[in-house]
Amino acid sequence: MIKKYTLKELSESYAFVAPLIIFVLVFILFPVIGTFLTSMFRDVAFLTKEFIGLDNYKKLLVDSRFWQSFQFTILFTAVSVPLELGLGLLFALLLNEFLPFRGLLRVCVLIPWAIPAAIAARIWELIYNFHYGLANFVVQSFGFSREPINWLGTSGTAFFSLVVSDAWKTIPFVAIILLAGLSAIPDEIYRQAQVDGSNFWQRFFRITLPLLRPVLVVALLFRTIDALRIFDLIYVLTKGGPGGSTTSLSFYGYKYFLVSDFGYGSAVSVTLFAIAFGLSIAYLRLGKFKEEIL
Amino acid sequence: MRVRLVDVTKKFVSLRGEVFAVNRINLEIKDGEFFVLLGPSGGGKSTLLNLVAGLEKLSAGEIWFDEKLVNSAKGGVFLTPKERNVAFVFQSYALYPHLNVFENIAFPLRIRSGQKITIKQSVEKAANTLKISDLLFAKPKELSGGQRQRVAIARAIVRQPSLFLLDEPLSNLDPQLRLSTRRELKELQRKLGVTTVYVTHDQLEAISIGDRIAIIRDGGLVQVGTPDELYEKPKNPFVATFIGAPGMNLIETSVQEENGIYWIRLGNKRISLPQNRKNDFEKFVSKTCILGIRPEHIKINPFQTEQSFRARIKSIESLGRDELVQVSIDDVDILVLTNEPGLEKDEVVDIEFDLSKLQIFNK
Amino acid sequence: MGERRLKSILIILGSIFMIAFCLMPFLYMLIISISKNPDFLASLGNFQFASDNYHGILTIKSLHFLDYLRNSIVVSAVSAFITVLIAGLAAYAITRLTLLGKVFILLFVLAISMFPQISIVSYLYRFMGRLNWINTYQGLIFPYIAWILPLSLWILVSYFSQIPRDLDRAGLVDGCSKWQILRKIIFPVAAPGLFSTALLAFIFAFNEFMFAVMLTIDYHSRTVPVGIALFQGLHGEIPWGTIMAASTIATVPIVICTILFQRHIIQGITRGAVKG
Repeated sequence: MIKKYTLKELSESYAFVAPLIIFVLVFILFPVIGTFLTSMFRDVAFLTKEFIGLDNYKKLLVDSRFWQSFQFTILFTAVSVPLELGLGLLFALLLNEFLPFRGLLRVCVLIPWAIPAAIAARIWELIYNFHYGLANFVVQSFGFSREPINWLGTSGTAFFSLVVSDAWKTIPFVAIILLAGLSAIPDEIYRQAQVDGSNFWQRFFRITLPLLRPVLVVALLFRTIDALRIFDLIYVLTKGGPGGSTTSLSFYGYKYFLVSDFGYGSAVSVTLFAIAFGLSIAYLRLGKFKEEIL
Repeated sequence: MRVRLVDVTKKFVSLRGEVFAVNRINLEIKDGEFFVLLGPSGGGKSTLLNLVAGLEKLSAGEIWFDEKLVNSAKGGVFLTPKERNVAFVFQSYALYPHLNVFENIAFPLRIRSGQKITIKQSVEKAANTLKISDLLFAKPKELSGGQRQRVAIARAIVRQPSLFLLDEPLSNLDPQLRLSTRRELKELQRKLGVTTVYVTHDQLEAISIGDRIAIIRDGGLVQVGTPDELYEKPKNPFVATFIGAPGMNLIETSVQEENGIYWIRLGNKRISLPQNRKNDFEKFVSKTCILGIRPEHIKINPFQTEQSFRARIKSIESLGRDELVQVSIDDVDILVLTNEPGLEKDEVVDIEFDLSKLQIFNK
Repeated sequence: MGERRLKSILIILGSIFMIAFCLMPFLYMLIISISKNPDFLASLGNFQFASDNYHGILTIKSLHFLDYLRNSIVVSAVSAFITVLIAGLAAYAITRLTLLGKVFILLFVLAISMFPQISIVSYLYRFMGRLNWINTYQGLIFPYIAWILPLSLWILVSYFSQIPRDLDRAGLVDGCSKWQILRKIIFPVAAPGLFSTALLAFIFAFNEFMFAVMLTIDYHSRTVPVGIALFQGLHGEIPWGTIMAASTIATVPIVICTILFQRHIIQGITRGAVKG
């Protein structure tokens, strides 16, 4: 039985969360629902809006450009996330050592995180510049290639370029949260392991990695979801090209919104949403990790 | 102010089911009394104090301050701590870390939007009483434990509460400071004359400071009484062992009647019980029961008598002035508090109970 | 001994790589921004210092760079401030008050933050269109608040749950209402946490791109990232020097903030992520 004063107290508490709930509902949840609904309509500028059920999705199935961007998005995620986690872990391990200027190093790693992705993309665009960019300068002066490389001009190098710039921008985040996980491992455990005669690699694989697992899974989850929805970098660096080879699902949907085909664009968005959602659930299942989130 | 608790009950609903933190407690605290809630940790005494303060709401029952109903589960009445005008001293002191000592003490007055000048006067007066006038502009983190505790008390008394509640206020102090603060607290309470409820798990503290003590265990009330009553007439073996350090010796035995005289047997010897306490023992005849005798009510005799037991000394522990001696009568171990000189381990001695202090409990 | 030596060599090499990798693009931006010609790498040693780029970006009105900057700062600051306020209220209720469905709210909000922006932006675009809020500050501020709230909430819940409950109870006994407890006790005590949350919220809003691209049209509300992304120059050839000067002006203050408050920021990131 709920007491009268408990009811009053409850309503008071909900007043405190009400603004949060309202903002999130109006500006995020309703739009998402709206997008879901729109995806079932033919909703193009200058045409009358018409309910067409799953026709937009049926069209997606046979749309080769959609499949191209689907493939790119998955491939990009599959390549960039492990790379970022690996390098992020390496950086975290380095930052966790007792180095001189440790604080300074940490700041260096933070810098890419603080720079807006669109601006970072602009810097990388210049780095990849065919005629006088830093990338070609490095490649040529170290003798990796005699000819300058058209980094953003061929689909293979464009993919590679995107992965590198994305890694630069996001590794700080991974490194920082893994560092927090590392510093939570008590020193005594390592000393005990050292006394027990383990070597560096044994300590890394038997102690560090298992104890870091929860944080690693969090980083994996966050990074995967972020990588799936990549937009800013592509908008600036490749505009989805060359030949649509680097069009992410976000960018593909955006292109339809640009030409006011809201129905089809929404269907693309919902697909991306479904992929992200499905992967998150899969991770949580695989990681058996419900309790670790809370 | 008089505080009356009627069938006070607090249950917490968790995923594992309902837990009764406080179960049907009836109590009356008299005006101006220094009342102590004593019991083992997790027994519900802090929850009871929170209920009185208005920090928690009753699940059932009523709480009355004089003739005013302050919380009734059925009636849907609930007064906030502010409306009850209670003051609370927390175990952690709960000083506001962002305010200096002056502002900490002034806080309750400012919330009640008092006059600036009177606030200053009241704070200074409270600070004087607690001898912390020279600390007024320090931040809590710069203070020692004892000083923080004084600030907490000053903050509690500054607004002249009608009820003063303290939740283990001394347990974070080191032992010496605890003793002196205990005395000062008692004095302060006498001077102010405010009804006070004090929670502790330390029986020594309870006995030395309380006018009356309520023993709370597993959410229920075990016994209420003055320290002397609890010491001399514990209601059950729990109270008997909980009050006094070391606690009462408990010996399982039975009472026999022979020729109108009651006897108890211990090991292979039996002793007769005094005639004038016949009424106390009558109902235990021929039943297993538990005898209670305090270590300080046993003496070590230089010679054997009719009423003494033979016992072997198992260990001797010095307590300074006295010695705590563990002896065994056959298989029964008994603690004796004595200042008899020259005792040695494995020595066989004769011990005698002060039978006028003997307690007897149901098994 | 061999292992230790190898380890320290590896650490030094790794650190050099780490520093180079993280700083190189940033330094490159700085250098190009003060160089007369962005192509000095092609004809080696041809570097010439010039402040023209800065002069241009700050004085040429038609570039609207200062407008973008002002828009970004206003929008991000207002969003950050309101977000922290709203998240603070909610975090207080979640950590302190009787509230059914606390875990549900936290998880719901977490799930919300994982939605791809693209699945929100088209609807927002038309919604804002109906309100006539396209190309206005409020048209950006409201979505930004909603977008940054989840992160802020998680950070603040983590901060608030570390404040001893006894402080609330002391406040209650001292006569505070719940609102007063929040304002006079929790907020002041959690000030460092509020500050780092606000800082993170500001940086998030400042970095946001997709909403800004869709919901702004011109210099009346366009933010710096969009401005710089769309910067094409007046006469064909991309004016890299100017772009890098603009980028420098836009990022250096944030980078300095990051350096000054690195402790706060790192705490904010880890609390938002590791607990979330």
